[in-house]
Amino acid sequence: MRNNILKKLALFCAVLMIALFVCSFSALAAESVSDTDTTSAVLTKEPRGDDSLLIAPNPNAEEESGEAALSPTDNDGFKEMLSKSMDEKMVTVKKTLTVMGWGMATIFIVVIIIYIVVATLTAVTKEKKKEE
Amino acid sequence: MEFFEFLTGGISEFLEPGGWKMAVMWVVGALLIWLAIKKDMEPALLLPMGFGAILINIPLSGAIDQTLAGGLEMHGIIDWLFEVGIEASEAMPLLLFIGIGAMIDFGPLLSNPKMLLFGGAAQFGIFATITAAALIGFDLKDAASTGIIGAADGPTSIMVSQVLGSKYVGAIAVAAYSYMALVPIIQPVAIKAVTTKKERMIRMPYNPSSVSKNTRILFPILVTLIAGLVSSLSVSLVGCLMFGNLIRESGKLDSLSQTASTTFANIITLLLGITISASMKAENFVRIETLVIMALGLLAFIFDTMAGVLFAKFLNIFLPKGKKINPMVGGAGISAFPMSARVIQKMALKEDNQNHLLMHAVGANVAGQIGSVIAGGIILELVPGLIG
Repeated sequence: MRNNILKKLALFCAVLMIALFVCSFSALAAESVSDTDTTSAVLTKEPRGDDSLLIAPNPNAEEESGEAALSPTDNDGFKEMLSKSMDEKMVTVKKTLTVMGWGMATIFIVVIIIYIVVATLTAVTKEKKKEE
Repeated sequence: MEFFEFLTGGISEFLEPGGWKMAVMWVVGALLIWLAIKKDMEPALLLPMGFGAILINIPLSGAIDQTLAGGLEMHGIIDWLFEVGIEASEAMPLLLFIGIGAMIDFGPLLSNPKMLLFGGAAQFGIFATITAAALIGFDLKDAASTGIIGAADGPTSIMVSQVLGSKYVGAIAVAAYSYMALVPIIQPVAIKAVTTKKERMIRMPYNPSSVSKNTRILFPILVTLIAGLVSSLSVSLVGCLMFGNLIRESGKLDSLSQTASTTFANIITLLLGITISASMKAENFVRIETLVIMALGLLAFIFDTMAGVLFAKFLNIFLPKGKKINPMVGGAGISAFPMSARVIQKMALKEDNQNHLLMHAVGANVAGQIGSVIAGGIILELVPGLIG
């Protein structure tokens, strides 16, 4: 039983190493794909200090802040969306496939690590009970 | 006479071009209230959202920010709640997770940890829908925000779409909560489409191994650490969920656990529902894109369910006879807890009145809760880096 637990722990360490490797690699890949430095901007987020809590009811302020797309006069968003060329769409689709690949891989890595940890914990508990 | 214009201001606003959209939103609000009361569909959220949709779409509504005559500014309560509770900190969806964590018993999952795999597999719908949305022409951040409806988890959908700065937060919230309520209709159709009657009749004996208190306490801490190490941005989502669960499992904070899972969760739910209506202003909501998002949301739920079921069928290839998994259990890997587990139990009993799959399905279902918040974190991690 003890060997079993050690095996599980070794497997756990191996998966953890792979996970860390995958994460660092995916972070590097994401950085290289990005043309602009939006990663750091979004990840760190602009400080939402007092200014962000100031309510700006002035409709002009909304336009200035780039929310003009939401204005009732601009209702051609869907037409624009449909009129995008296939090439334009494929650029986005390629990115989504990157998200899909890395996303599913990372989820499975996390889930498998949790599985191994839980299985190890359960095995340890069982052994303790037997010893008692 | 000019002085009395305030009496007709609302009506003239309504008669302006685009004013009819407000009336459409009253109908949408009434529909949500009807679904909540008459059809019992997620009433705790759809009712406040429905009423909020009416409240903010009254011409010159005082519930949202307005500029008064003379340039005076008036701050509306709904806009304020949105800015402070969602926009500034995503606090409301995150706080709700503490309540959800305090409600969830991970026991069935801990006694059968294999079910965790379904919590991962059933997130496929999120990513498949992101790709479908991109094919239609949505830009990456809106496609990702639409796909996250497949998390079958309202707070995660709201948080991810808000952080990514999607224009469609309102539509995404409505889709997420409506489809969660429609799980009993959507899932049986999706499951039957990819399973045979024989597969649906596979019996799975339930032999729960006892789960020690230490395991129950360590579980939320370890999950937070593991998820945090692999996807740091999922920490806020997973952390709040697991914090709530730790309060529950500690055994020392019964009154806090009770409060978190009832009163606290109710207050946040009430506020979240009415607050999210701030994103349902007519000019943002009455668009063709809203209908497309609703359709994609449905697709996400179907893909999620099918992916879970197909993954179970894949595992069955390697499992010996007698240890096979009923593929329907895989479908419970979506996060709509506990509806999905109940649906699987009902379907299993319909095929074979002695086949009780509830505890297996609950295990997969709570695993889906973990999987969906991790998926949300991973999207927040990956998508911003790809927005060019």
